[in-house]
Amino acid sequence: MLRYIVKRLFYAILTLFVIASITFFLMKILPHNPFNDPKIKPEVRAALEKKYNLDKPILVQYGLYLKNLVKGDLGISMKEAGRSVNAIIRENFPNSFAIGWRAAVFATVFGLLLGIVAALNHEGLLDYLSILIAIIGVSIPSIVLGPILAYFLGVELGWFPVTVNESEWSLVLPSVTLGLGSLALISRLMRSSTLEVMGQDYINTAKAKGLSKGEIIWGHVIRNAIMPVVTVLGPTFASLITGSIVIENIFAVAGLGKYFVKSIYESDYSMIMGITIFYAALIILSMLLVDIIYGLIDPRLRVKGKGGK
Amino acid sequence: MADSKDKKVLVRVKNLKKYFEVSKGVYLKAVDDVSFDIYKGETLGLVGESGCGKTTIGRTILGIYEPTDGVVEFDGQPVSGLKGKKAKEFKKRAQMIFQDPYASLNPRMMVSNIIAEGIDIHKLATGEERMRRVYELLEKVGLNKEHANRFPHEFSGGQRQRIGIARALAVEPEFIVCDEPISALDVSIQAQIVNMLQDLQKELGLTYLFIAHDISMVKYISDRIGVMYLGKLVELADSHELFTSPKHPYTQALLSAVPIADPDEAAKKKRIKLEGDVPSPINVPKGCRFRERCKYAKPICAEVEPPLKEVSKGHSVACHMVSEEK
Amino acid sequence: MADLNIQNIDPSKFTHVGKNIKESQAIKRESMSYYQDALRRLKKNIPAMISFWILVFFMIMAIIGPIISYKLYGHTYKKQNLQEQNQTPFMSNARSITMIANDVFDYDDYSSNFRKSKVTFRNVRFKSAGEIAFKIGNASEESWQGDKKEYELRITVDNSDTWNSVVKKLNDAGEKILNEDPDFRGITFTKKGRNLTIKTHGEKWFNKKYWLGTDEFGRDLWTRLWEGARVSFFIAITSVLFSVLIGIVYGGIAGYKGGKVDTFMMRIVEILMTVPSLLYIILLLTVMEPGLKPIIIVLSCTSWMGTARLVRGEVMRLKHSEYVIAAQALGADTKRILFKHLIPNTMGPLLVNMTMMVPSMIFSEAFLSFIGLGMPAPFASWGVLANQGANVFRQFPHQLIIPAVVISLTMLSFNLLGDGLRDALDPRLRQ
Repeated sequence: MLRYIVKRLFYAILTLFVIASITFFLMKILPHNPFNDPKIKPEVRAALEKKYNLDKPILVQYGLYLKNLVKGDLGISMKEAGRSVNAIIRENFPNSFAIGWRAAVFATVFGLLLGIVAALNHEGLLDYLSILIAIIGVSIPSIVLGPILAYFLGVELGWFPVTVNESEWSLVLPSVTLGLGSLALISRLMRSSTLEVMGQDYINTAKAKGLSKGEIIWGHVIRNAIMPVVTVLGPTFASLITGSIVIENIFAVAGLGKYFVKSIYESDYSMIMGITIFYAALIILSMLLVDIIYGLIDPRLRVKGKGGK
Repeated sequence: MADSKDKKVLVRVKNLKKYFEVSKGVYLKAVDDVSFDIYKGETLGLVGESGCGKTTIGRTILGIYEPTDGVVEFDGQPVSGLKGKKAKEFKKRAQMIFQDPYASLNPRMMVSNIIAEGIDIHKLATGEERMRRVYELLEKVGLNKEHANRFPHEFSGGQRQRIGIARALAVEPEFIVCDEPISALDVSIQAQIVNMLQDLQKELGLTYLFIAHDISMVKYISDRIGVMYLGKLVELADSHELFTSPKHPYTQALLSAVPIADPDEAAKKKRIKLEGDVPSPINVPKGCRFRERCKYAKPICAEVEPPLKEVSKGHSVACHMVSEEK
Repeated sequence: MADLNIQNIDPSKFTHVGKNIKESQAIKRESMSYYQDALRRLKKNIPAMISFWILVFFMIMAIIGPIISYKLYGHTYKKQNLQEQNQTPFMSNARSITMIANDVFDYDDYSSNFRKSKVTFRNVRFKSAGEIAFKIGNASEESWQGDKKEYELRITVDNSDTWNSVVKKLNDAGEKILNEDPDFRGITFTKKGRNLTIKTHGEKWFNKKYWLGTDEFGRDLWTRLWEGARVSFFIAITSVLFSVLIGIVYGGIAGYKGGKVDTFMMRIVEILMTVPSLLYIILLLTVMEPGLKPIIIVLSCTSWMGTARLVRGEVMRLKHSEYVIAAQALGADTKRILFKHLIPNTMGPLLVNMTMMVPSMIFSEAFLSFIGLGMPAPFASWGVLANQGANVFRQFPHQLIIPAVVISLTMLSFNLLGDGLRDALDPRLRQ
C-alpha cells in the first residue's frame, strides 16, 4: 500500500513539474508582454524588467522560477504593484472554496442517491427523472444554465439571492449550478453500475439466502456498485475547478475564478501563470486523494498485475 | 504407419524455445526446448492442456513469432530470418487454421475478399479468375457461390470455420497448422470439420500439424501424437502406440480421462486423478516439470530435467522412470 | 381426440423430405455489410434519428440562414442599426416597470424611458393615509399607446389599508378608466414580495424585419445566430478532425510499436490528461492572438489524448486478433494490415468518439468567449451570442434564450446521436 501511495505521489509531482514547465515556457514565447506598452518610458521599463527578473537569461529565469515554486512562492502580480500571487490567492480562494466544496458534496451525495434510486426504480418515474437530469447536465453548458437559474429562481420567483453575500442562502444557486454537471455524471454512472451489480449472480444468491431487501441493497449492491463511481470522482472534482471560473463571474463571487478572468482581460501574465499552477496543483491533489481512497477501499487495485498471454 | 524413416521430413523443429517478456527480467517460457519432425503427408497431433505452449509452437513454426532460440526448418530451409520474396514463398506453402471462428474473420470484409486475401497478397489471380477460384474454394469446403458476397457475422460457427479453411487453401499450401480448429464448435459440427479436413488431406496431399486439447479427437485424425506439458514435449509416438501403451505418467492420466462409450469397459477403467495445478510457466520448477504432480517421482526428478529419449521405435518419452524400466 | 392412437396413423399421409445440405447452409436474410447493418439499427433509434435531423436542419440553416436575411432585408452579422437596438422577436407596446414597493410612491415624477416608449407616472405619493393620484401618459408628447392623451388614476387610502388592498384599489381604478374611456388600453398592478410591477396593456405583433430581434448594437439576431452556427460548427468540426488525426497517429504508433515506446508515450498522455484541457486552452490562447485559427489549433492540440488512448487500445487489441495473424500468416505486409484490417475496424469506435467530441468543442468555444478569449468582435459565434445574451439577460431574456436553446439542442443531439451510433455499432448487440 505504501508503495502504491509513493508511486502516485511521484507521478503527481512529475505531472506538476511538467505543467509548471509548460506554463513557464509558454509565457516566455509571448510575442508581447505587459511592459512593451509604448507609453512606458524605456528606463521605467528597464526597472520593471529588472524587478521581475525579465532581464536575465531565460534558463536562469526558469531556475529562479522553479526554486520559488518549490518554496511555494508563485511570484508577484504584474498589474497590482507589490502584491504577491500568493496573497491574492489567499484572499480570493476561500470564497471559491466555499462554493466548491458545497458543489462537490451536493453533486456526490445527490448524484449517488439519485443513481441508486433510479436503478431501484428501473424504468419508473424516478428513473426517467434521473435520465432527464443527466441529459440536462451534459447538454446545457453552465454559461447558459447559470443566468437562466439566476433569472427564474432568483429574479422571477425571488427564492434565492442572485449575487453572493454573507448569507448561506446566497451560496445555494452558485453551488447547485456548479455541481449539476457532476451530479448528472455521477448519477448516470451510479445508475448503470447499480443496474449491473443487481444483475449479478451473487445478488441472486443473497436473495436466495433470504436476506432482506435493505440488507441486500446496503450490504451487497451499493458496496459493489460504488467502486467504479469512485474512479471518476477525481476528474469530476477537477471539472468543478474549471467550472468555478464561469460560475463566479455569473454570480459575482469575489473568488479566484473571477480574478483569473480579470487577469486574462488585463494580460497579467504572472497572475495567469500563478493561478494556473495553483489550479493544477489543486486538481492533482484532489485526484491523488481520490486515488489513495480508492486504493484503500479496493484491495484488488493493489494486487492488479499485468495481464496477457 | 510403416517405417517413418522412409518418409521425407517436411518440418523439423530443433531445440525450439520461445519466451515472452512479461515484465522486466521476468519471462514466460511458453515453449522450452522442444524438438520433433513432421513428415510429408502425415498428420501430427499435438495435445496438452491450455497454456502448455501448443499454439505458440504452431505460430512459431509459421514464423509469426520469432523463436527465442532453436531452429524451425521447412523443407530443409530455416524459417526464421526469411525476408522478402523467400518469406512470401514460405507463407504460400505453409498456412494456418484458427481456433475461434468468430475472431479469425475480419468482420468488415466480404467472404470473397477474406478467401481471396491470399490470392491478392501473392497476386495469384485477378478479376474473373479470382472469383472463379473463390467459388471453387467455397464448393470445396461445402459452401456455395451465394455465400461469397456475404459478411462473416451472417454465418454460423461451423460455416465460419469452413471459410477460414477456404482462406488457408486459397494459396494451395502443402502444410497447414490446425490450431484447435474444432474446439470452439458444437460436437455435431466437429465431426463434419474433421472429416472435411481428412478428405482435403487425401485430395490435396496436405501435411497437418493438428493442435487440440481433446485427445480423443486427435487420435481420430492423427498418424502420430505429441503430448505437451508446460512448454515441453513429454511423449511422442504413433497414434495407436500412444493409446495402447502410454509411457509418460501425464499421458496415462490424460488417456484415463477419455470417456468410453461402452459402460462395461468404462467401469473397468481406472481413472488416474492428478493432484495439484499446473505450475506457472513464469516460475518453472527445477528438474522434471511434472514431478510435483507425479506419483512416481524420485529424488532424481527434482534434480535433472529428463530429456526426450526414444524408448522403442518411433516412441519417445521424457521421463526418468520410463528409461529406468527399460 | 382421446382415441388418438399412434399405431393407427396412416403412414401414407407422410412423405420423407430427407435432408438437403445445400438448403440448410443457405442464408435467407438479405446480405448486409457491417455498416449497412449498423445503419439499419440506427434508423430504428428514434431519439438518435430526431437528433440527426435536428443537426441536419441546423447545418442547412447555417448555410442558408444568413443568405435569406441578406436577400430580404440586407442584414449582415456585423451591420449595426443603432435606431433599432434590443428589439424582441415579438414586438409589443405594452410596458412594465418593476420597483421596490415602498419606494414607488415616493416619486414626484417617475418617467420610464423603457424601450424607447414613454410611460409617465406623475404626482405619485403614498406616504400616509390620503389620496393617491397617478397621471398616466402625457398630453404634450406621444405616449406608450401612440397618442397624446393623459389619464388620471385616483384612489383614497386610509390607515386600515394593507398593501394588498391598495393594489386592489389601484387595479379597480384602472378598470374604471378603461370602462369610461375606450382609448385607454388598461393597466395592471401586481405586487410580489417587495416588488411592485406596473404593467400597461398593449398589442403584440411579430417583428417582421428582425425575426429573432436585435442585439444591443441593433444587429439582426437571426443573421448572427446562423452566422454563429457557421463559425461554431466550423470550429468544432475542424478541431475534432485535427484532434482525431493527431490521436490516430499518436495512438497508432504507440499501439503498433508496443513495449517501451508505448509505455513512454502513454505516460505522457496520462500526465497531459490529469489536468483539464481548459487550463491549457486558456494558457495557449493568452499566448496567441484571438481568432479562428488559434482557437482551432489550441482546441485540437489539447483534446487528442482521448482519441490516442482509444486508437492505441483498439490497435493493441486488433494486433493480436486472429484475423490479423491470419493475414500475417498469408504474408500480408504492414500496409495491407493497416489499411485492410486495423483502420476499417477502428472506424466504428472512432466515429462514436468524434461525434461525442463535437459537443465538448462547442462547449469549449462558448467557454472561451465567456472569459474573453473567444472570437473577437464583431464576429458571431454561439459562444459570443450566449455571452452577450447573458450580460443583458434580465432585460432581454430572448437574447440569451435563443442561442441557449440552439447550443443545448446541438449538444444534446450530438450526444444522443453518439449514443445511438455506439449502440448501433456495438458488435456485442449483434446476433
